[in-house]
Amino acid sequence: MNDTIARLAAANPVPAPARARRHTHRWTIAVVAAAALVPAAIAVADQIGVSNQGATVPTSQVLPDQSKLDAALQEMQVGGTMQSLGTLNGVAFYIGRNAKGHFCMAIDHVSDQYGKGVGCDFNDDGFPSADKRAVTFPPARQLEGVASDGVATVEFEDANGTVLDSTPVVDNLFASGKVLPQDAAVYLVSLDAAGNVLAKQKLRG
Amino acid sequence: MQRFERIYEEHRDAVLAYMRRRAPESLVDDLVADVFVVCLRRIEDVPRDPLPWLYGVARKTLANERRKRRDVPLAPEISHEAAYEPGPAGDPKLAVAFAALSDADREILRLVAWEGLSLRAAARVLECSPVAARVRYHRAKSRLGAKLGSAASFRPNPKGVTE
Repeated sequence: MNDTIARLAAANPVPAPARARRHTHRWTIAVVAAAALVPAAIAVADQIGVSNQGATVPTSQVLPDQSKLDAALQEMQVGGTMQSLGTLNGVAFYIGRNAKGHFCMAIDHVSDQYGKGVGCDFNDDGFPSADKRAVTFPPARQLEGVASDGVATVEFEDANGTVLDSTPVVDNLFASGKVLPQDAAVYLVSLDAAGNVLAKQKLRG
Repeated sequence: MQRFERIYEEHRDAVLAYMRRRAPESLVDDLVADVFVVCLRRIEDVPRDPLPWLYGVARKTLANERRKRRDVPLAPEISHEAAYEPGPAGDPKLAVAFAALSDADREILRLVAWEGLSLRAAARVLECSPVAARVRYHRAKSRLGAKLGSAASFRPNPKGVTE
């Protein structure tokens, strides 16, 4: 490599990532501008569940007029229906499972032309569980997602444990309007009504 | 689906870095997502070594986004952000020289110096022959070197008088 190229390489504004880094969350995402996808799970465990089962709606009605996202839902083999869990702070949430049982979610910032996304969680240890009490839509720049019963508040923390954002959980849903810088949030923390930490999930490997 | 999961897990960070080197931060997440939607949709076409193919999709996705923003009038603060392209960091003279190159010159140099691709792999990204990629690369490198050289050789007249 000659001097000019070596100098250019040394000035890389984004140094190369480590190859094949294992992700804490494996999500397939399809977004239309500024939407993250987070895994969501319908009630699974006996004691840890999601009471809000919502209403059954046809998948075709989840994100109407979004052909790219509709195509992504089909490709991820999300079934013919999803559960509409309701709208919180202008964000509509839909959850379901695909043909392989993976948890899938769609979110819709209903008053925004963009801010819509779909995705599925390919992790084996899906939400909800004792260690995973909430899921937030990737890439975890905004607290938007689903929490299991008993979670009253969810927070983003950085690597030092500083709380970057905190938002209440309403009917198992949470939606904060605050958008954080990329990779700022390292942990998703679930707290009960007394402020006790129920789970602290690492967002990235 | 398993193959897609593997590709996503292994190459998502690299595609993210590619986009962050070329696009405003506010667009990066969506552009990366668009790349993997294409990957999912065209999984049968993805070659055994997927990264150059993914970079090729990323390049076209970014080009489409730039065309869209150019064609639609934007508010000044948004158009300013849309035009922003990260350049070489920590080397102002290099940044100026690099910015003065054509888009094509910058891209081949980025692929080699920043993405760390071989010229053969860069050719796949740019959808040209390896010979064409080699020629483009050497010309771009020469042009960058010339711009750096002319910046380095400029010395004001010691007495401060311009001839």
